[in-house]
Amino acid sequence: MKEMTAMNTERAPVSSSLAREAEVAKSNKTKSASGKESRNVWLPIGFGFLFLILWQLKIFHKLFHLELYQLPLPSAIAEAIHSNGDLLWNYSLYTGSEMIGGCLIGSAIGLLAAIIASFLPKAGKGAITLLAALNAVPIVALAPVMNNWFGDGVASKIAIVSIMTMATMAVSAYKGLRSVEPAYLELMQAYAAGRFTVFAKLRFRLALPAIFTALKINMATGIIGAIVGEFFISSRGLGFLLSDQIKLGNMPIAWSCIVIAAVLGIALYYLIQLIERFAIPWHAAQRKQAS
Amino acid sequence: MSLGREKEKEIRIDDVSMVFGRKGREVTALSSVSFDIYRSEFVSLLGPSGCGKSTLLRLLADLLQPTSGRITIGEEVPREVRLKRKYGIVFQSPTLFEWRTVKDNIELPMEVLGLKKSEYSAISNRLIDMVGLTKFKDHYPWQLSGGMQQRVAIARALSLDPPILLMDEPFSALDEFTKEKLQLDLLDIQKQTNKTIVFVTHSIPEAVFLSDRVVIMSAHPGRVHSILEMEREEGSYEQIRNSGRFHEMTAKVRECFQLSKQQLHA
Repeated sequence: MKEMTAMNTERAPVSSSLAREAEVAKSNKTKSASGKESRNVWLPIGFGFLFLILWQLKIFHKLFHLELYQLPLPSAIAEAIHSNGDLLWNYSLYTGSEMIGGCLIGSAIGLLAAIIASFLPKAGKGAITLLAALNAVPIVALAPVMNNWFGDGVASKIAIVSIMTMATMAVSAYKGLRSVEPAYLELMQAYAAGRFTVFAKLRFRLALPAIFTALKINMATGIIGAIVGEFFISSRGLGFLLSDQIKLGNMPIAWSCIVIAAVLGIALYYLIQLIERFAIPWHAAQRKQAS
Repeated sequence: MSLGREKEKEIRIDDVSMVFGRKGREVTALSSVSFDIYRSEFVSLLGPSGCGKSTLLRLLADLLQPTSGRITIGEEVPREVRLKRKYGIVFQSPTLFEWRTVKDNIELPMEVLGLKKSEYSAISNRLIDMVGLTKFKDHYPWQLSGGMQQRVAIARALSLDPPILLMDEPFSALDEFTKEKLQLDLLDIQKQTNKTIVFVTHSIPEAVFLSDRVVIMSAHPGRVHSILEMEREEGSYEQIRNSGRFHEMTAKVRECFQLSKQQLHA
C-alpha cells in the first residue's frame, strides 16, 4: 500500500516495484516446478521396480495361470540378454537404424508437405486430408508390398516406417503452422512482413511444439513398423529374432527382443524430449507454468 | 486548439464506411465517418462495443480496407503508409513472441525491415530504457507481468520511429494501478517523441486523461457522435485526476456518451 501512495503523488521509480513483482513471480514458478519434476521421475521408477518384483515372485503366473516357458522370469530374460549380448546389440542397431531412418525420412517428407500446404491455404488443406488417409493403410498389408518392392533388407523397413510416420507429421505440423492467433498475423502485416518472413519468424516457431509431438509419436510408431516389417521377410533384426525364437520355443531370447524394443522406443522418446527442451525452452517453461 | 500547436493535418478520414459480410447479411460497422487528426495530436476513439472504433483503427492501419470513402495519411493512402512502416501498432494483447527475449521482441520490426543487428542494437537498448525495462531486457515474456509485457509492445511499436502510433485498447486488460503507470508513461513518451497517437478505448476517464481530443462514437451502425476538445493540464497524476477541470470534462464526455446511446434506443 505504501508503494501505491508513493506512486500517486509523484512519479515513483518504475523499475524497483517491477523488479520485485517479477522476482516473486519467478521464485514461485521455479519452486513449484522443481518439486513436481522430481515426483514425476520417481513415481514411475518406483512402480517399474514394483512391477519387476511382482513378476519375479511369479505373482502374474499365478494370476493368469501361466507356466514359466510362456512367461520367463525377469532374471531369465536378463541372463538371455547377457549371454546373447553381441547378437542382440547388432540386431538392435539394425532395427534401430530402420526405425530412426524411416522416422526421419517419413517425418521430413511429412514436414515438407505441411510447409508447402501451409503456403496454399485452400488446396493445402485438401492435400493434407488426403495424406492423412495414409494413416488408414494397415501395416500388415503394407509390409509384404514394400518387401516386394525394396527387397528383404533395411530399405523395405525404412519405406514401411516412412509411410507410417509421414501422415502424422504432415497433419500435426500443418495444424501447428496454421494455428496462429489473428492478432499476431495482423502484427506481422502491420510491419509489412512477406509470407516467407511470417513463416520463418512466426509460423514455424509456433509449429515447433506440434512438430516435436509428432516426432515422439512417430518414434513409437516406428518401432512397430520396423519389427512387424521384419516378421514378414528378413534375416536379421529384433523382429526377425523375435518371431524366429518364438517358433523355436526359446522364450527368454524372444522376451529379450521385446524388452530391448521397448527400451529402444522409450530411449528415443526421451531423446526427442531432451532435444525439444533445448530447441524450444520457452514452450517447456510455459507448460510448467500452466501445470 | 488551446495548445497553440500548429494545426497540420496528418490523417484525413473522409466519408468512410465499412460493411462486413455477404449480400443479404451485411453488417454496417462504420457509416460515413469523417474527421481529421492533426500532427502530434493524441486522439481517443471512445465508444461502446460495436461502434466500430477498432474497425476504424484497422482501416488506418490498412489491416482492413473500407467499403467506401477515403483515408489519407500525409499525402499517402494507408497501404503505402503500411508498406513504408510509417506507423507502429499496439493491440489489447501484448502479442509478444514467446521464444524471444524482451530485446529481441522489440527488435522484430527492424529485423523484418532487414536492418542489421549492429544497426539496431543501440536503438532497442534506448527503447528498453525508455519504457523502464533495463533490468529485464534478457527476460522472456512469460517471466514478465502483464503491464511489463505491454511496455515491451509499446517499445516495439516505437522501434522504427514511426510518426504515428495506433493503439487498440492497449491498457484495458491491465489492473487499475498498472494502467495508471502506463498512462503516465505513455504521455511522457508522447512528450518526448511528438508522435501522433490514435488510441481506442472504452474508458471515459482514460480518454479524458490522455487525449487532446476525444471522438465519441455510437453503435449500430458505427458513427461519430461528437468530437470534444480536452484541456490537458500539467501536474502529477493525482493533481490532474482530482482537479475540477478533469471532472468537468469527464462529465461532459459522459453526457455525450449517454446522448449517443439514447439516440440508438429512440
